[in-house]
Amino acid sequence: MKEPGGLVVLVVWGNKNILMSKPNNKILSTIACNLDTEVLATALPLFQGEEVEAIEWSFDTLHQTRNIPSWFTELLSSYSKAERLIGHGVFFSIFSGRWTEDQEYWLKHLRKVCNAFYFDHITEHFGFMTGADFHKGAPVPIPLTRTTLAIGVDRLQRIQEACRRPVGLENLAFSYSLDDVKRHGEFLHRLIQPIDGFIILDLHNLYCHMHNFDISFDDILQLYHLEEVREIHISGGTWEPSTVEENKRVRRDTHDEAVPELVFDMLEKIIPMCPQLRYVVLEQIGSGLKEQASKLAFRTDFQKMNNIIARADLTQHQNQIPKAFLPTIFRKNNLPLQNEDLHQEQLLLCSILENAKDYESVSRELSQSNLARSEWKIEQWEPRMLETLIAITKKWKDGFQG
Amino acid sequence: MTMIVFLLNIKSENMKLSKSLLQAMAVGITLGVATTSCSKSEEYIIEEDHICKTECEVECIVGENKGEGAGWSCGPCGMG
Repeated sequence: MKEPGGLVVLVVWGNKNILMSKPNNKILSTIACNLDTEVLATALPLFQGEEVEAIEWSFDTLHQTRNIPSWFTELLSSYSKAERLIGHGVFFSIFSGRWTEDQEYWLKHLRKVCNAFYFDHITEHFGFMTGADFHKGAPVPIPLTRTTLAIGVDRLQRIQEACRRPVGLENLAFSYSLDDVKRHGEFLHRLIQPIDGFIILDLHNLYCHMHNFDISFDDILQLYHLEEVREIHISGGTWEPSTVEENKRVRRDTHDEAVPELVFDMLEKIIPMCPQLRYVVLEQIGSGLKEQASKLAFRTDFQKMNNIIARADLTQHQNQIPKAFLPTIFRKNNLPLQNEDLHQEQLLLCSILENAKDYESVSRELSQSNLARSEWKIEQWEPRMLETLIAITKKWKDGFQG
Repeated sequence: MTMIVFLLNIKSENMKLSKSLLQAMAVGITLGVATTSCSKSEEYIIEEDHICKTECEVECIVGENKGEGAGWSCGPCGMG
């Protein structure tokens, strides 16, 4: 049973803050909500039933759209006024080695939407985008090095300076190897530390890791700083049989299916461990919601998520003052950090992947390229994951062609 | 030593949208006014390589300078 809102008494005595009554930092049941007919049609009964406590909007996905219906803007405004609108960027490409004009425009757009709407926080994805201009493809992992760490921090500081809201970063579904998976959580922690940021923990992305690299949920949880989690994502995906590794299949984060039962189990288990958790977001793309059965499954998933949140043991959350996840001073370098070597390597990798004839030719080209025996550690990449990476980059080579 | 007491207002968890907004959403969705969040709908798409400038005439969701932003294709989620 969810508690109603109310007043919280905060006493400031000298330089100490003392919370006299419990903060109502309830966890909000949220849906990823964009200008998408199928998603909105599916979610309409949930809106009518006052069940959608917050919405997450990908604010950088309407650039090619005009004549935005006024009701969509009003929907955003309603959640904005209630301080329950969160922004989820897609196309910034945090780890591109070279600073681009598109990134400048992205920040400008972010400033503008932040002037129009109040976002409780702003987030982006880990990785760099493939595609001709690094803004049309899919997010792909980068080597976890001092160089990429510095570039990542620089970009997050720029996002934070632009939006002046808490900024978070999402864990990535795709990994080249088990070693990548094991280092991902700590790298995220080091990225967000300088900006006092937070983590979005995408449970389906962890589910992908569990299956693709045979690692348990308990072991993965040890790799993340759960006290930094402010948002959790749940979604579904698909299985892709590998043609290069017999009897293996790869779990992909395609967001076009219902949420697996195991992901709900993971949610139930992890909520008590994340004392700063504020939003749990159900994500699904419209193309997976065309049938009545899939629409019903989405609403059932939402209610399951809602029930898990409602009955979660929040003992660890109580007596915790919600963190602001904001620095006292917004810092950024005068000029964006760039690394030409990294840029050239990213160009090379994209070129090899996007122009690939088949797995064998990509594998051969990579081994003969500058990426061999480099920080990219391509020798450790699992064949089935390289095969998947080829499929992902080809799928998004020219952007969405829906 | 000074003691200051603040009363912080915490909102109720229910999120009630106005009837008129819900009706407008229902009509808009039925008429297909929304596009899919990733698709390039002819009706709403501006030219392919459009990059909005300050004087841009193309409408944008917010702002006085209607149309600021870049012409990226989109796929807000489900990339993988």
